[in-house]
Amino acid sequence: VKIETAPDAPPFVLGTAARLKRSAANPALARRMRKMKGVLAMKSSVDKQSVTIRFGRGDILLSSGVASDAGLVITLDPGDPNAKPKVDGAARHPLFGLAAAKVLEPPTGTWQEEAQAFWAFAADWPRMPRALLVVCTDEGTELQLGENGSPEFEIHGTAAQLVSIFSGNSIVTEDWLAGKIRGVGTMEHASVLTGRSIAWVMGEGR
Amino acid sequence: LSDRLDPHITMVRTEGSVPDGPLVGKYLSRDKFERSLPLGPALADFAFAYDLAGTPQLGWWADWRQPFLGDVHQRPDLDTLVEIRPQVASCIVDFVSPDGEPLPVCPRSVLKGAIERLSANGFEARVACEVEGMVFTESYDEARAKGYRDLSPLGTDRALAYLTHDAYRQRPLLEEVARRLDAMGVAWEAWSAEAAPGQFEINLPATDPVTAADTVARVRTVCREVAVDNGLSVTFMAKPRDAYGSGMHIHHSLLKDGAPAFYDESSPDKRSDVMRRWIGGLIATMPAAHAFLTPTINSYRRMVGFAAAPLVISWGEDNKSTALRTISRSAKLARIEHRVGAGDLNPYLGIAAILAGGIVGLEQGIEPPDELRALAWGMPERFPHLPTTITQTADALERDKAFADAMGPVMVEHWIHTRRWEWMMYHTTGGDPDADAVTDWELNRYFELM
Repeated sequence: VKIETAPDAPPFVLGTAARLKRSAANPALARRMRKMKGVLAMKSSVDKQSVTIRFGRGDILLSSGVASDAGLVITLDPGDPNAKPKVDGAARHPLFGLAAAKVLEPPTGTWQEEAQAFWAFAADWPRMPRALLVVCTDEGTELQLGENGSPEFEIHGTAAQLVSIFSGNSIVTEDWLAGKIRGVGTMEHASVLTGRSIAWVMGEGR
Repeated sequence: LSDRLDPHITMVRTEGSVPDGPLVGKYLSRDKFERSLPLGPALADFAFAYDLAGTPQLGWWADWRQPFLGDVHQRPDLDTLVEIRPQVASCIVDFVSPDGEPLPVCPRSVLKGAIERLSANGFEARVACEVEGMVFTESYDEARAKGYRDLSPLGTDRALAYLTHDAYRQRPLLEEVARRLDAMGVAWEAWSAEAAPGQFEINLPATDPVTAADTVARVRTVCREVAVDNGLSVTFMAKPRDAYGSGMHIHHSLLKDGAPAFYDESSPDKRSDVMRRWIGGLIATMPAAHAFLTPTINSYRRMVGFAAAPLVISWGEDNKSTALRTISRSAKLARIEHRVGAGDLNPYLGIAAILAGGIVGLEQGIEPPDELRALAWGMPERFPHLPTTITQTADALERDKAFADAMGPVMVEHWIHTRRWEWMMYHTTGGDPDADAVTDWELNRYFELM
């Protein structure tokens, strides 16, 4: 599956492309993507962000805006995964709509698998903490990534929240500031982790 | 200090530029100001780490920052002490670390670094800036209540420059600005109404680069303060409404041993080798320097053909459509007018970027492309165009290592990150990626701070 974005693509386009790349890494979803043909647009209900996705049997091109030939238009709140999206055109394109819903929601692994994948992507970046302790508060388990010894940064959260930040569905600091996770460490490490988290959400390393 | 400060002064306002352009500082009692010397008062280093909406900028780090949000100091430049109102003085500062080291992202220190490097090459620079802004009859509070839309320009509603009738109507702002500058001892040369409704231009005299930048900062401050005092509003946004945008043309020349270095009587075109290489450097580094000259999302809206802003990387003798307008007809006048700068640029960084580009040309002996003897708007793509988005420009800045070396690598790295941050904030906090005119996001973010 080839997934490309138009030049100078904005964050919503890059983030959507990243989700599709994550789905394309799954063999069953990749097979589905190779069969999909049609134009889908998504637009934000809270601001002006939008993306048009052109599925061409394995060749996928994303660009900013809502194209006039989009058969399916989904209106959603990008900051609230629990908000119900509004879908226009599903009645005319039910199978395409179903397939799109699947590939736009890439499957996730356990929080440990997602944390390890993020660490493999981010660990070598300059100024990253050398050791990251991840504590799952509802399971009572933890995982240290990187070097042994005292961790330079700790992230505490529920399994679902840890999956969200490490899979690239949300950004570490946004969730920290919103009280969804807890952290222990320096401003330097928090900032650099945020940079890698943003890059991960936008598809770097995918 | 008693030699520099009249006895009746009771408080001193410190003010220093952060990279985005606004001045930050404190009002200090005279006693506290004196006791704070030489390091100056402290403020949180966060002043350099949040954006114009007050959002902490996260995603990168640099050695000048402290791990748990520490202090930086505002080291006063006592040569800049001036009385701004009865009993109140102002002092421009350089930002330094707690141990007195210049902060590598302090715009004024970055400019000083470029001047030092130019001096090591045997030259000193003279710089004169044109400050353009727009004034409206609504107060800032009234403008904010209207979302900065549908404001009434002070003056005529015609796109005609230099109208003295228009200037007369702008007197409540500009005559008072001139009076206050005179009282402060800040030199200015001329002011006039400009091409957009409510637009004005203030011409400042040629001087050393730091004084030139200090003066721009002070002129903008005085404009805003006169506006506040008179129930008006002023903005130096590059494009606050659908009309001619505001730029900042930066005239500059070099001296060697006190003599003009851009002029050569024996050369057929009267341009010296120094000027030629300086132009070569400015042209070669222009995509990177563009990041500092065109700093905001809104700056790019000014880049419209046939509307004064240059679009093509080019130079030409007395050509006001090219990016660089050279004037070579006499030793006294020989200079370059750099016309790329947007009205919202940080004067310290804008001037530093120009010096850095020229320095690259001098040090590498870069020959300029042919002079463009044509109108530089509406040209086909084979002519090299300036980047048209903030991300394209950040990419160009990231690629140009020679420019970064002359400008200051830490500042350049900071700027690349913050320009990409500005792009991300525009898209994720309410900006319209498909808008072809100024958005509410831009007006809310920039109108009162630029």
